[in-house]
Amino acid sequence: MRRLLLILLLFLPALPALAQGNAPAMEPKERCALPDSLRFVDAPLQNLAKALKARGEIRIVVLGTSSSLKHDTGGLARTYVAGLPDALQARFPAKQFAIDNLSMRTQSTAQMQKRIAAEVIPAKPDLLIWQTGNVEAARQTDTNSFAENLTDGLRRLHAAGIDAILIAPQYRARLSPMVDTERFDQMMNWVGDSEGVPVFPRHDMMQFWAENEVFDLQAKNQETQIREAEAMNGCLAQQLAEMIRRAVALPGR
Amino acid sequence: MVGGAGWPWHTHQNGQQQGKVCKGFAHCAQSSDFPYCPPGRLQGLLMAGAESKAERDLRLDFFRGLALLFIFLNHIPGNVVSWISNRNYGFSDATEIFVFISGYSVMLAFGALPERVGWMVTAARIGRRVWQIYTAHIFLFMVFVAHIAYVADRFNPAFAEEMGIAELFEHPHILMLQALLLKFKPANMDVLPMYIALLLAFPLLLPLLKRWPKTLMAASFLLWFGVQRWHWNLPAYPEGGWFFNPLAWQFLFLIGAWCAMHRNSAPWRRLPAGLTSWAAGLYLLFGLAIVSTWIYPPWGQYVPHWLRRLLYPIDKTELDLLRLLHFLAQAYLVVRLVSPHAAFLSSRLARPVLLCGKHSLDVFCASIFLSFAAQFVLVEVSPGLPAQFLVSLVGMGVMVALAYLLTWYTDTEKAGSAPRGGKTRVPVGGD
Repeated sequence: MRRLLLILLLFLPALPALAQGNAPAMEPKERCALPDSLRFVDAPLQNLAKALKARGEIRIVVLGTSSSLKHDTGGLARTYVAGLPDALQARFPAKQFAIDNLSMRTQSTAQMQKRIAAEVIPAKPDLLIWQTGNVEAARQTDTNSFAENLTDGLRRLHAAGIDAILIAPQYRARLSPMVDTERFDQMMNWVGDSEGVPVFPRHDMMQFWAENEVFDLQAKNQETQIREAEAMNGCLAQQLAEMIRRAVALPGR
Repeated sequence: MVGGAGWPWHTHQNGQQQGKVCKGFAHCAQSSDFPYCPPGRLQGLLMAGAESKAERDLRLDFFRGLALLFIFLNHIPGNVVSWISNRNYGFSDATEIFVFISGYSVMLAFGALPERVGWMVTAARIGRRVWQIYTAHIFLFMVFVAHIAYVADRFNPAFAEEMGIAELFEHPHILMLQALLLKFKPANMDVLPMYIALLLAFPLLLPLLKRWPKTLMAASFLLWFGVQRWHWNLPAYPEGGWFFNPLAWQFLFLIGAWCAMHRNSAPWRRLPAGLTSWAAGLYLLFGLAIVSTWIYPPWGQYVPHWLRRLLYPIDKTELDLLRLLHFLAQAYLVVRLVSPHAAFLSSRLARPVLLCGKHSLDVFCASIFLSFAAQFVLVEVSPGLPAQFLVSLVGMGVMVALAYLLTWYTDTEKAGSAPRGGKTRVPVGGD
């Protein structure tokens, strides 16, 4: 009996994981559905909130790598950026969104951090969407220097009164033996947490969808693959716009 | 792989009492370990004729075995079974257990050798061990290359380009060379290179540790501190430094070696037991509370912003102070609460874990191989919960089966060589 209790006790911690794994009602229509824990945000976007109150046109800059270009690397599937204007418009119908995409392939966080000083801050956008981490994960850059570059970029933006939202690295199950994105995802979460900047948990969202086989990204038929990738990117755009809406509604610190 | 080689095992010198099962106080007397054996009675019993110099501390095998199982589970991304791993309950994880016990075991295995066989022979034996681990690492690298070649063949290359992998594999000869130099290390293959680096330095550190332990520990601390401050690291390929920075992790490795060296006098016993236990317990609870906010972000709102700024980021590469303290608090409580003769260590339930810990190098290498296989199944066959449970249980089963096989093999080998040679190793855990 004591052994049985011991075994039960050992597996007790797995219960929340199981619960989390089954959390959302996965109806076929609700492909974008996610557990609440992945949709949570507690860092406000105060400057953006002020701009939304004051002006009709909101300027957003996107800075990232190939997953933030309008089309992905192969030039086939539309990325989350393509779906963002509509997703934002649906949530803020009275506003105009001008999105300036500065993303470039295989750009490192260090390079982006320099571009923040040289290009983003002078442009004075209301929000910077900063997607990074995959390039560092592939190149096995120090997580420390990754964190330092992120922190430095965020502090520059903060000093210039520009809000930022970080987009976590992509989750790619097939690449996991080669690329450990988890380290960079966690580091980004910590940096966001410590700098008071929202982090869009793209990594965990993609992992959740992959584990629940919501999108068939590994379909043999390339057309299906592209369609599924676009559907997932569309969900990412919706979730990102939703996170922005919630962060804007949060009270300031 | 290296048949029958436990990862730095604790050699038992006990010709006359070969195979004897040690229990009760006599067992304690021979174990000469941690705070459970009063030194006076220990010496008396030793002088009364127990010839054993030392005996395996089953806790080392047990916790190392547990760490190996946790590392295997953690190496499978998105694996729900890894929830049982200690990384979800505090700042430190299985790596700390592993490195500390490795330092401890290396000291037990090689610490007394220079007096008996001289420094050169000791260094040569450590060198042989390093070579075994290096070849095991390169073997695993070949498995990795085979895996990648298969995936690349089937893969949509666009994804690989997104990650910048494509350019890495444009010059495979350079990649091979960098892997041989331990500069290129695939994901999950960082632990062995760190261990190789630490073990390679050990022949130089051993005489210093024995002669000037305080000075060496102070130097080790200063090096760790320098890394925290100035981020020194060994270079890696294609860029950056080693994920497990040996210049930082050497501190924990040497703490392990230092504890092994002082296991009879046990200086940690001089700490005020009640106060230290409370402090350690509270710190572990604090770690648990913080880590729970990473797992369930909505709880993060209860962590004040100033505290987040103070805590984050918690670096693993450089063995952050929070991680180090967390491990030390854990180790202190384990040493206080788990006697080397705790009944559960000799139980049938603990035996598979103990055996994994005993044959740690082989089991560790197998676990890396199995984690590749498990990832393959989860990606190519099914990513769901049943598959996660299945690959985890099968993987752990294979690790345990290998440990049993190696135990059988070493026992058989030992039985064959026992009449000729006097030296042998005592079977693990009251069997």
